[in-house]
Amino acid sequence: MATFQIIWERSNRSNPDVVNSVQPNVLIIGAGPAGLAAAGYLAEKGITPLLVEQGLFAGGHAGSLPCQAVQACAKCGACLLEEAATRARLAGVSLKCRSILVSATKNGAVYQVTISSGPDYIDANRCSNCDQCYQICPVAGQALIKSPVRFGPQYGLQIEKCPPGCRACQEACPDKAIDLAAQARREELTVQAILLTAGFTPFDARLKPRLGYGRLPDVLTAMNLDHLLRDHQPLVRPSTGLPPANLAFIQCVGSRDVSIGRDYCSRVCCGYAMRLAKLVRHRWPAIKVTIFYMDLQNAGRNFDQFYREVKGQVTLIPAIPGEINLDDQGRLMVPYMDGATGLRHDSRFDLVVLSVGLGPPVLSGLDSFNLTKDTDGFPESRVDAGLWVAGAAAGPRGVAEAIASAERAAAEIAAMVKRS
Amino acid sequence: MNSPAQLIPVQVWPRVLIIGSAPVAGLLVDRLTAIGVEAVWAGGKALEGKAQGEQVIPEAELIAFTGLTGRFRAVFSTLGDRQEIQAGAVVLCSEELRVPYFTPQPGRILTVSTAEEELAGKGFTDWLPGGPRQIALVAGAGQVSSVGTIRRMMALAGKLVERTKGSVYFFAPHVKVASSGLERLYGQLREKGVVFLRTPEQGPSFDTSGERIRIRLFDPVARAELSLIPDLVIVEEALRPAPQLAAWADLMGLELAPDRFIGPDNVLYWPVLTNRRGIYALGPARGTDDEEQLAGQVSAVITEISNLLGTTQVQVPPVALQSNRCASCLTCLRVCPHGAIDFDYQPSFHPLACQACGTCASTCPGQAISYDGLIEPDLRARMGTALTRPKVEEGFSPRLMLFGCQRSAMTALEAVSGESHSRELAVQALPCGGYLDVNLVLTSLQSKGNQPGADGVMIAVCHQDNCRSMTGSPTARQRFTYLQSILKTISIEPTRLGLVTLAPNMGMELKHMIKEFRDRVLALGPLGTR
Repeated sequence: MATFQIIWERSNRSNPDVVNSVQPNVLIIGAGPAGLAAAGYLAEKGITPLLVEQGLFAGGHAGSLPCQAVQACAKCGACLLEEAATRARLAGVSLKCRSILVSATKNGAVYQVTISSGPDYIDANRCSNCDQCYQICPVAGQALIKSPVRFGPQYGLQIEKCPPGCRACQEACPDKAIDLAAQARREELTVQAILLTAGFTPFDARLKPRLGYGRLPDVLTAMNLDHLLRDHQPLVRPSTGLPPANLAFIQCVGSRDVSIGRDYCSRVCCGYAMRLAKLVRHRWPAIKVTIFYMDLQNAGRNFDQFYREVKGQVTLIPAIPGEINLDDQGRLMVPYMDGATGLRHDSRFDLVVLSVGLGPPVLSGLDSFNLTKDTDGFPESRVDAGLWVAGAAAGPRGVAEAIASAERAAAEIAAMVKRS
Repeated sequence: MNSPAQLIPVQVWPRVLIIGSAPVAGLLVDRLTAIGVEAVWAGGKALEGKAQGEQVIPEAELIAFTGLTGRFRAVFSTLGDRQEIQAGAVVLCSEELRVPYFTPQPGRILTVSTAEEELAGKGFTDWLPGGPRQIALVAGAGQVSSVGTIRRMMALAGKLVERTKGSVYFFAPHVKVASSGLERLYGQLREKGVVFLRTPEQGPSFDTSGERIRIRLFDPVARAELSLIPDLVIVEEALRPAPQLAAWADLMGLELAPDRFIGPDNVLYWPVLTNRRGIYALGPARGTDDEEQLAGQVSAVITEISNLLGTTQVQVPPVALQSNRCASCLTCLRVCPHGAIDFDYQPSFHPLACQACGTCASTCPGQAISYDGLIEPDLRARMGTALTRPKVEEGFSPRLMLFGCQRSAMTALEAVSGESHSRELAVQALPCGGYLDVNLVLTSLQSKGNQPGADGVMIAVCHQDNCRSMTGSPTARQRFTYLQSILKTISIEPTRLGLVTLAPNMGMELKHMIKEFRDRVLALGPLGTR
């Protein structure tokens, strides 16, 4: 099909004001589902939040989650990101992407904060989302990428991936929204409260070298698989480009592991892997799916029925393989102890997906507060100092729970701001 | 589409009614009182120990429930009397109903609850004369354990291993540790000497025929069958919906989830919302027994109630009644998924409860309910500009009409709006799948004067169980089937009609779906030339 324009008014869907002249009351760090929900809540209460996001777009990790529905909704909560984004958009929330908190100091009842932003190669205020830049970009999808959510900037440029000297997008833009020479800038603000919703840091699977991530191309993380499914790409073995005959998930990579100081369950991965397994089976019925687990954790309400459905189409093995190697045909050799016999069993897979655990966020600009950590190593709120932590930044949780916790924090912040 | 929001004042009675005797109800009363919200607690059992001045209805049984969001009226029978309570919001906190995984036998098979009570009430030596040598805790055993019960069983195992010189065994197919601190507790128990054994999902093999119970299990590490003759077995109990939940749901017009607990099993209603705004359910009424989740639910209820009680004005619902057409048939009252219709000879639409889904408007047999902002002439105009554009390519290019739910399809479409769709595609947003009007679809297929109709109509609504109005998506499916039968009757290929379900984050999928549908209609050829 040639390029066509859809007949549909977009006028009521323009980008929000990225620069807001009203002084914000509350700084929210991280524009994932939690940050968006909190910002929307505060703005609805007449409080002005400013969302800063270090990535190119709003959405956070949830932005790459595919919908896991098969016949009916799988209750993964991924779509709640869009709900939170719509809420923030309708409430007129201000968002600065590509921005980090440099420093924050408490000055009486307020915070003096310094934010470093940009460079904003694409001015979201001018951009009309006409897509002409994307269509002309010789490396579209790599240098020029699109936002996963319908709030905030819709296009982002990773200039380090641009072909040298290429100015195609800037020249093609009818809105003069692209400036490849844009510079980063700093900004100082005064706010009454800070909400940290910086999300989680996924466990770096390279720290478990025997599992082969980074060394064996057919070993992926669940996040790699998310991207493939979300973008509706074919599922293939990176080593051969051919579809896999089978696939295995390995749970608890970077969770429930005292040896790496992760003495906690990441809570979301079991339900997540089981749903993904069902989705893979649904889209590619020929692919056989196995899940290696320690203990399968419950996911959502009515887990009994969901679990029965999973058992009907996925092989569940109560063992966590410790190493993955290649066999002489280039397939992945995954040894484990068979619980029925106690004997070592060598299984072969075309693809292995590691369910990496959720770790605490990397904090920036909050050094002066000596934030205390909970027993799992996640930062804790300091309500007395006007600093809240919510969402997955406060502990491993899924999208729905992250949003609920952010709303609770936002309600407390709203009460505090209105008192002062 | 969106007309400027028109606000009207609303009244919310500043009182919260809490029904049920779960321990969390007391906590909720205290939290609400602390923020200055008046709470009335209608509990099943005696509610001793509550401070004076608190309003308590003991031995309360709900017998009638009327009113709408912000002004509910509940009637209770209490100690042979009747009492009516008016409240702006209602919270359901029924107590736990526990069903043991297998029949307890006094002295040798106890439930977790009984073991907790006995351990709290007596010294351990009184409890098991002679001192126990071996105690087995059995979780799972053919059913799914809950993380809340596993937490209680771990606490019990910890106390038992500290107080006995014997051995404590913990049998489970899956140790549920997905809550705060549980993985650490699990590690500590193993250090203290609790032996955790993985069982098959149906549990270990039990032999209760003899005087002593015998448990058999294959141990893969020792590669041998392990046989245990415990002095005491403590079995898990499942959390089941309390019998009053179904009665409450019936009286209050609430949806029960497939597991028979309150509240739709729908992520948009997570963690405490029900299908009626202003009525919330938490804890055992919702199938939750984990303390971490429960704490989150309590805070969520407080936030929701504060918002609701602080509401003084809301947007006018986009639905309006043409009284002369209304036959008072009650259809709207029956189909409204949000309990938002007040019926006094004729319906009125409650602004606090209405979610603007339009289900009433599309279902009304007398077409007496109009939905502001979505009217047929508007659709005609859209199709006029969209579908009569001159053809660029040679040959047939199908004219397509897409009816999409605002929440899912329209958001998804926006994600790929700059990309290649069919230029022959006209789009009409629906507030909800429940608004899909049969006439609207038929009109779009019809040519009028020199304006041709669509060659194919695609309907895109939310996934089942992911619809904000619960019944919207199934309603759209029903009407789709009905429309197909109409098309068949009038000799139009039913495949000119397509139905897809999707989530708002499925832009790429929607693009594929549109392309597939276009190919299908392309193969069918222009409508009406056969």
